[in-house]
Amino acid sequence: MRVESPVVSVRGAVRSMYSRTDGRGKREVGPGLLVLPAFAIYGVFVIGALLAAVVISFLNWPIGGSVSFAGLKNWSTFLSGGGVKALGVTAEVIGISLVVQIPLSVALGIFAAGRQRYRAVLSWLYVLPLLVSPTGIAITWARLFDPTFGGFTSIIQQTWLSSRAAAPVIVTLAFSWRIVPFYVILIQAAVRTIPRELFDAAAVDGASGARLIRHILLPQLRHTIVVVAILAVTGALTAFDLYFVMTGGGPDGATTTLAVGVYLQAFSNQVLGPASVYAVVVAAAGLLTAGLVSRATKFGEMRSQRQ
Amino acid sequence: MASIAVEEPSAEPAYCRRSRLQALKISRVLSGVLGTAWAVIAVAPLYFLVLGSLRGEGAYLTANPWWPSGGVTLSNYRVALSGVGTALLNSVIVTVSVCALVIVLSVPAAYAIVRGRGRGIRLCYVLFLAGLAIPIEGTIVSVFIIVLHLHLYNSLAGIIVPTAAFSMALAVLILVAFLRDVPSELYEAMELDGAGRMQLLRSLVFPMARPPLLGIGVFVALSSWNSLLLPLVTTTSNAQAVLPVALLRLESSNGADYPAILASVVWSAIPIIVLYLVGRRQLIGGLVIGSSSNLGR
Repeated sequence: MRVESPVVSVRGAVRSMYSRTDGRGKREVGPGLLVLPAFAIYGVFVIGALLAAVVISFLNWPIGGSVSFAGLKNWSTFLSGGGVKALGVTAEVIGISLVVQIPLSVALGIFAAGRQRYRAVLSWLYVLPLLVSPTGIAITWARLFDPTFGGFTSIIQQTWLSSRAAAPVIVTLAFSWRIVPFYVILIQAAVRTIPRELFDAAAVDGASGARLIRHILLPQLRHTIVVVAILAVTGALTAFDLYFVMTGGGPDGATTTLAVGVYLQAFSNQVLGPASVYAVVVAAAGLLTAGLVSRATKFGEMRSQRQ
Repeated sequence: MASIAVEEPSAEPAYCRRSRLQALKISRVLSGVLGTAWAVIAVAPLYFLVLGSLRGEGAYLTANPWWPSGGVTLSNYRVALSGVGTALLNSVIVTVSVCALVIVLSVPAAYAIVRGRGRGIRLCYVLFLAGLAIPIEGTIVSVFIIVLHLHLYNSLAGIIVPTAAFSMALAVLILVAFLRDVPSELYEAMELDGAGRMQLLRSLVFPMARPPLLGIGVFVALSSWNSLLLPLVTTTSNAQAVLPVALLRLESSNGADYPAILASVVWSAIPIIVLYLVGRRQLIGGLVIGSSSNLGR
């Protein structure tokens, strides 16, 4: 593994560019050099690791075994086998996340932005699920849906977490339950920055309740809603903790998202090559989303400037 | 901040009709019902968690899980602490170290990007920008190999350094945006006074950057406290387990003592709950700062 080498060469280039001598002929450190300590660990563990993942995805690399070149084998296995299934699960998680999280966050964010005392108390309660780690939430929800000693056992007999159809839905609901409070905070803050005059003017024009929300509030919130949607997509794309802890990726791969797939391939099957294919797909999807977003927002800025 | 009450127009126009008032009332009642329903949904699983953690094992398995009957005991919390005490300590060490490392390294880096000139600096800046969109899930296999080769496997440093690396891009970019607004005369005046780089950083840049550093610190602390995947991959021994890893091991062990596990979950959340009680604004500020990490800008 020589992932450090690009960093070393960058360091050389930067040193030659930024060292300079002061008036008294003493060598002085240029300000540019101060980027190096941070960039060194970042370059190794983020940029270097990403490049390495691409390389490893073309290798046979069993943990503890010998490394050899695999060509496209790992990629074709991904496309013909579990990879497509994991892509499907991830797509399902993204879909459920968008459908559940966005309407809920928008409605609750608008609600929580009101100044009434009881709304302040309720929005204080809303934040509570965010305070427990995803692992802790997963354990709590797994107990909640335990078929024999669970929170719902006395009401209905259920084995939902071992059902292939229900398990991804339940886990995604748990995932949404924890993350919606965060989006509510974002929407709430955005609502509170909308100038009051807009509402007063609309009220004078005779707009009320639902029409106020449709014609004033939602257009003003458009940007924040897009932000929430992107966060929901990237959150679902990299979803690991809840899906791994609640169901271990099962039953029968029904909750094996791409990120869970990375872990299971690398540390259950102990094959680093196929695991890296999953990893590269996750990273590529993340970068692609970010690229599309930045293009879209640039496009949006251009349009709003023209108006 | 401009404040606005959505559902409360400041002055109800005198000529508004009765039907409109009624519609407003109905929508208010409806939104009140929705808001209250969500509060119940938000709290119910946490209530289940706390109630379960307060029960004897017998009562947990037999009594109604939503009704506090069959006695209350704090003994689970004692059992839990003996199980996850080390992990609690490890998590504190890891979180504090990650925050310190990110702050100590990101401030000079941001200063370098703002004050430095040339291609090398611009390249670093672009790579930091690109890194915002790289998820740790997409690099975890190679991070595992790198940690192994650097002999950091099964050590807290093997958790601390990669976690700090993954927070670095966000910290640097927020600080760059902040330091760019500082007039360059301020730096130049200090340089003319003969201040060295380190002195300039210590007595000007660090104190100035305190407001963004608070938000960055909260965000970095939260994400390293909650992180499961990286410590799961870079440590196997129980001596180096951080809280999420310890919780996962408890959960997947056979013959699990459920009330004690639930008590462990509560232990793991107590520092964050305390932070929420004493510094709600800072906690939420830190969360919001983190949201820019996934937006590619």
